[in-house]
Amino acid sequence: MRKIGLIIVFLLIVPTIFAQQITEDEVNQIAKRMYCPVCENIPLDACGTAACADWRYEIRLMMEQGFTEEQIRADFVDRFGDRVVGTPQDPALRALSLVTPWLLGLIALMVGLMTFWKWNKAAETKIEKPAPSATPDANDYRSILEKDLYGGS
Amino acid sequence: MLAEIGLVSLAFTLLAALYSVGACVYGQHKRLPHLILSGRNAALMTFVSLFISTGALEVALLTEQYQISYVWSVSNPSMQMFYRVTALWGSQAGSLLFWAFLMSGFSAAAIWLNWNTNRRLMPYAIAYMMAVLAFFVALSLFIENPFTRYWITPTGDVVDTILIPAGASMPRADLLASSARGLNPLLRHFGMAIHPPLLYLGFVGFVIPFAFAMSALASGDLSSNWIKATRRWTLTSWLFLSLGLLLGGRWAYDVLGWGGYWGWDPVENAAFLPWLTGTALLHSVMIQEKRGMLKLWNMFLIIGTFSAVIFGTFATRSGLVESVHSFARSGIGIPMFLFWSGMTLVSVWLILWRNRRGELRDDNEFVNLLSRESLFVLNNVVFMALFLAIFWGSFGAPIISELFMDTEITLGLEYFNRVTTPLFVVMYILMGIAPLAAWGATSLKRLGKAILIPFALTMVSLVGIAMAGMNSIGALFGYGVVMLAGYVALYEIYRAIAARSRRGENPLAATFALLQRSPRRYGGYLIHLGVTVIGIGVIGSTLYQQETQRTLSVGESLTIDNYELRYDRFDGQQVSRDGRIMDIANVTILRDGREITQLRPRRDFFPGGQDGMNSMTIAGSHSTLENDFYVLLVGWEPVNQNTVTFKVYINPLINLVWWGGIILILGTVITSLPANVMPERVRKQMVVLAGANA
Repeated sequence: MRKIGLIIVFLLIVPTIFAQQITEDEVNQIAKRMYCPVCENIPLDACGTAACADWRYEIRLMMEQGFTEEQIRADFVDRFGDRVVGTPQDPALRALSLVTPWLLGLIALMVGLMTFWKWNKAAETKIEKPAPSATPDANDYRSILEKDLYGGS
Repeated sequence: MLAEIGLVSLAFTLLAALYSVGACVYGQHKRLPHLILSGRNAALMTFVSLFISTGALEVALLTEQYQISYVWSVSNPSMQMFYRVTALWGSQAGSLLFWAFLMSGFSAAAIWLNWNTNRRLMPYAIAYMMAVLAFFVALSLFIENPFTRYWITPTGDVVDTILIPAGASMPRADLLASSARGLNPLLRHFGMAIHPPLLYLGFVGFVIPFAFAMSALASGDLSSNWIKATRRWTLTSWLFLSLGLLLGGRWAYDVLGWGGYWGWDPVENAAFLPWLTGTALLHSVMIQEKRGMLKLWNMFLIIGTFSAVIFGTFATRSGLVESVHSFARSGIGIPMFLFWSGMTLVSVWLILWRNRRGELRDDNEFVNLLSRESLFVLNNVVFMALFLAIFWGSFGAPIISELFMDTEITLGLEYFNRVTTPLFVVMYILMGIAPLAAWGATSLKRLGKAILIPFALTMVSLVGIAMAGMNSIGALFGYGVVMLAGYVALYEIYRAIAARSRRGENPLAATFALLQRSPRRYGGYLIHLGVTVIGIGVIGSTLYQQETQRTLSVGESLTIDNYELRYDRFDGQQVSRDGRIMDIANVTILRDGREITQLRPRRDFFPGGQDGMNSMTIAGSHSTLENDFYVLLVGWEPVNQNTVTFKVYINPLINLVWWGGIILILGTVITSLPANVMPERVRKQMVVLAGANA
């Protein structure tokens, strides 16, 4: 009976002894990539409210229970919505958020390229003009600079 | 009495501004110079009347007239005089009035300075400026009136109204004073006290070039006159906006307690957006000035900048940033949205109308793809892409997801770092190459020759950095790109000074002469140099930031890198002169075992502060050019303060962000000076003095 008691005590103590010692830095590492569900746009690791301190404590408890970072983030998203993470977890929202700026950038680039194309076309139609040249003209920056440098004060 | 004075002069301002719009438009349409002159005088009068109105509110704040509800909500008897002054823009009603006051000041100055030189543009320019002013004054008068007062009605209710309710009496002055709320603690910081006026100056300043551009469209004077008339206004606005952004960053670093200066918060981004379009405009107008090209694009850019200013003001003041649904609840949300969309639509319509008539056609034609104008177009593409990406992350995606998918989302650091970093890299590359390219056409050979020495200097620097222990390819690439832009600017300045020195001038006199002769070019190089220094600071403080958080007992230490922090003592419940209660931890900082300084990170509490706004985390920091050792007091054991939690950051090169900002500001000031600004006599004296000092 005594042996059984010792085994039970051992089984209770050992996991406690070997339980992960979660540091505040490890908690912050996860909290840094999450946002306070109450305050607008404040990272969870930096938010000073009591609610955020509780949520950081919750993260610590989940880490101690062996939850991974992704599981913790998913749990918070389930409870508070996609606003608690820096990029949405929902695939449709994630795609919308991340792809759109590149599409917009592409449109901006297209506008720039179209400007070049328009310019190029206009230059080509002016065949009577001399061919494009790299010779400095009156507007040439280099020639103005050289004039400035050597042309007297 | 002060409330009545303020209110009457505010109402007069609205009437004067509306009269000015009508007189200038009708006078121009019917060719009635006396009516235009009258409209101009009315516009100038708005400055006088708003000065009186704003002055009345300021005097009310200084003399503690707590019966005025605005004064009661942003001040209290324990506040220092300085913060009483800055409380003028401490809340919505006051800041709208202040915005209008600055706008009227800028308008009056623009009218005064341009009346004789740009007579054709002035009537419509005045009309546009006054239309914007009238809108903000109307907001101030009808929705966010800073002159409402508290009254006790016969039924015992306390109400704040503009007019005195029948049979109402004044509340007791001592009761009002004892319950006054005081300024939001987060605003009780020097940086935050002057950050809003600087941003407002930047914002309202961009209204001037916008009004002149719209006037050019309305009057048909589509030459570069509007650009010449407003170049300095654009630069001045850009200068104030840059200063405002820098001070906002510094305030965040000092007061918000998260170890950084830029969090991609929608409010910050709302101020950054017009800065981006304004920067694109400053480059793009050069093409119109030099080559008569991009007339249409410049019109769109100035509208975009103005639109971003109004949208930023709308987004941050209407509640849109918090939630799409809260903006309608804010009194100014819907009027601002209508004004913003109305002005934008009218402006775009004007552009399209003129463009359809062929009046915005370029004067010159493109010569070569490899030219400065091409690189400037690419630069504009990058700035617009940054604008769109930041707008999307701050407003677009959150609004669309909430409106159409019923989900609130936050796009944070992950999004912004991923999307903006490549664009900033391209921006720095262009910043390095574009100044070396010629207008019209250049050749690869010439460009290669010009960039050779800056490129070699960059490579040497990178080898040095790598030998110092930095081995991240990404960081080295980032530093390389940023430093190339800086070396190009430095080398160009050096070449010019060296050439003049060879003619016998000493370097100081040569520098002075160059800045005198061509302030735009060399001021521009200084701005590029400032942006380079900021870039080096941003890379260092972002990629190499170290942080740790530990709970310590008295006498215990934590170690981070080669630093050690020792917790010495806790001074709890210290009361300062302005009534704040401070909890202060005393710590000693050692580096390589040697004591370097003692710091006192603290938490300030403001009794009676507004909910959620009554505490402030003030970091203790030891600053050197190499890094900041930055300590935050995160928490402590409430009973005996024996154990305290600290969060410690090492922010490498962070001070370069502020130093770069100073260089940028200096460069902008030089750029906006006219060539040969000083009289000949003074210039000669300066040159002689420089010679004597050599």
